[in-house]
Amino acid sequence: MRYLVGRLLQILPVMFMASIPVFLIIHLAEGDPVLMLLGVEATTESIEAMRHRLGLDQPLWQQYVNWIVGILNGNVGRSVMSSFTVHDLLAQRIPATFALAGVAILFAMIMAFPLGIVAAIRRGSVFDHIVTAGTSVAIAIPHFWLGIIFVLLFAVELNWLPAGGYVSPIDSPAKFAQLVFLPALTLSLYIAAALTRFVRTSMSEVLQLDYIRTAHSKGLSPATVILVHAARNALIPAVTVVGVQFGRLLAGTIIVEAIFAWPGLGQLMLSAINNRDFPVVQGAFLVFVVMVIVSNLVTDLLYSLIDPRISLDGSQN
Amino acid sequence: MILVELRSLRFFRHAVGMTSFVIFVVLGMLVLFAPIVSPYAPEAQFRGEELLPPRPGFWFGTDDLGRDILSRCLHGAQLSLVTGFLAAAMAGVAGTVLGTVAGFCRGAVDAVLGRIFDTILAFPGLLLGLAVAVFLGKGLYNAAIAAAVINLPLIARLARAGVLGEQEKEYAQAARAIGAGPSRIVMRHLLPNILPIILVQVTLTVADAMIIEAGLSFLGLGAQPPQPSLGIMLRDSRNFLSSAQWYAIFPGIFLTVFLMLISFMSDALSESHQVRARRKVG
Repeated sequence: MRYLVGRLLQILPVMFMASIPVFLIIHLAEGDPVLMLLGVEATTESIEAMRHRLGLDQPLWQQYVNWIVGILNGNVGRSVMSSFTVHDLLAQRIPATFALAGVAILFAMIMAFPLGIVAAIRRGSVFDHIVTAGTSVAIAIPHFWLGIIFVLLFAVELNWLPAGGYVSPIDSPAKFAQLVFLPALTLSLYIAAALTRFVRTSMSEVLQLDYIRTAHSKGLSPATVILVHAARNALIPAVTVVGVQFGRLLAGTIIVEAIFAWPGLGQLMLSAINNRDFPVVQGAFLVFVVMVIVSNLVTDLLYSLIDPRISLDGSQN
Repeated sequence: MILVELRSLRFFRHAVGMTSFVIFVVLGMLVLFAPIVSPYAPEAQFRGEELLPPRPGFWFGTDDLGRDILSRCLHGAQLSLVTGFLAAAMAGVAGTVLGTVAGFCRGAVDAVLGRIFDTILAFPGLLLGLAVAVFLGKGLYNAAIAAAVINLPLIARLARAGVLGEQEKEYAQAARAIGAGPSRIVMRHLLPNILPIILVQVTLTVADAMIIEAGLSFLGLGAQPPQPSLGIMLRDSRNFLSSAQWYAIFPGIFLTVFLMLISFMSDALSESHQVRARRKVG
């Protein structure tokens, strides 16, 4: 419990400092957002009026406090390009990004666990070498090329799957499954490779422990020993790999959404950057950064649950 | 200096590392001398030769404007590598200096720098690249800056940990005992010992910058046409996937081959460092 409270307190300064560049977007961004909104022929009065409406005429610290208080009350501002609030725009897009990231993590686990376990059992075999080489390649291939190659192969050449688009999984689960397959596969490959490497190492270590030998000598079938006794201890720590890679996965959604016309947070942010709709840019950045900080926190907490020896000050009991 | 470190790391005896290094140098030279080596200028357009498949004269085919894809790949890779090395140089120097200062001074300086580094690490690489693009506008150097900023804390942490660890060792204490000043201890004794570990992360910075450069250009926020960025080529190729597959394939292979070579080299570096560390202990 003390660990939990301590760790929660630790993220406050990080949250505070990360919020500063996000807040400053509207002030330091290239090009005056007010001029962008009103056009170069705007009169001084209308510029002043707009600055007042956006609160840009107040002292900087006051604006920051207002902004934070607004966020805490669920008011992230209003889009300057459309009539929507930033909150509404974010709420519309977040489910699509979460669905994509969730399916990608699921794919990564489905690929990584069997591959990693079998590679660990047959360490040094041809299969093990193929898996190891495959993970190196998968880690090096950039998302945007992989996505394009998948579209080329599965949508253009073979015509098996659609090249892009989105429907909500609630409206049409079957259509969603078709549409999510390629983007999620693209997104998952990197994390799958990192996870496979981890599972392979962790499983090989566990398989050499005494209790596994005991389980074998009790006459249990190899399948039981591996799946029940070894896998449980080897796989639980793998959860933390997913946590550590989550930030990278989220950044990957920006590219993957662009390739597959997936209307998520990344697409919202890109169009907002191109339209200089800074309140929306701020909101989208904030969501991304908070998600990364929270996922790091959850990973640390999970880690301390799995391994009780970890304590806040970094020492081991 | 780096070569000495590499040799002492047994890097050159590492088969995969060595092979990757040789291929990287050869390809790197080709790319570096792209203006001499490439068959055509990257923006030279051949009317009536649009979207030609690979053939003698146009070994990688041509794009929708009749430009030679091989020439554009070579120039694009040059842009990508330059971005990578620029980022690695910035992150390597700034990270080592800040990390060494944090480790050497400890106390408040260390605490403040530590919190700043934590904050930077809350931004994934590409997201930081987007933030830089918002602040500085579209441009080629966004990726280099973003990759440098994102890797700076990682390098600084390694340098800090290295300095903290090495400072307690006998040779550092001996240097202090004979009256060596802080700067001499750091420059002559501590830095040479922590450089190998830092070198691994610096290598990865090159790859990070190349991915972010291509990613930002792909999203339209990095290099701008007619600059021959691999990311821009990949983005444009998407409109011709059914008629000109080579357009999407070759720029991607170029980028992936470089990234893989860098990844193999950094793996080899870190493995041979671990071997040396183990031998030192044992």
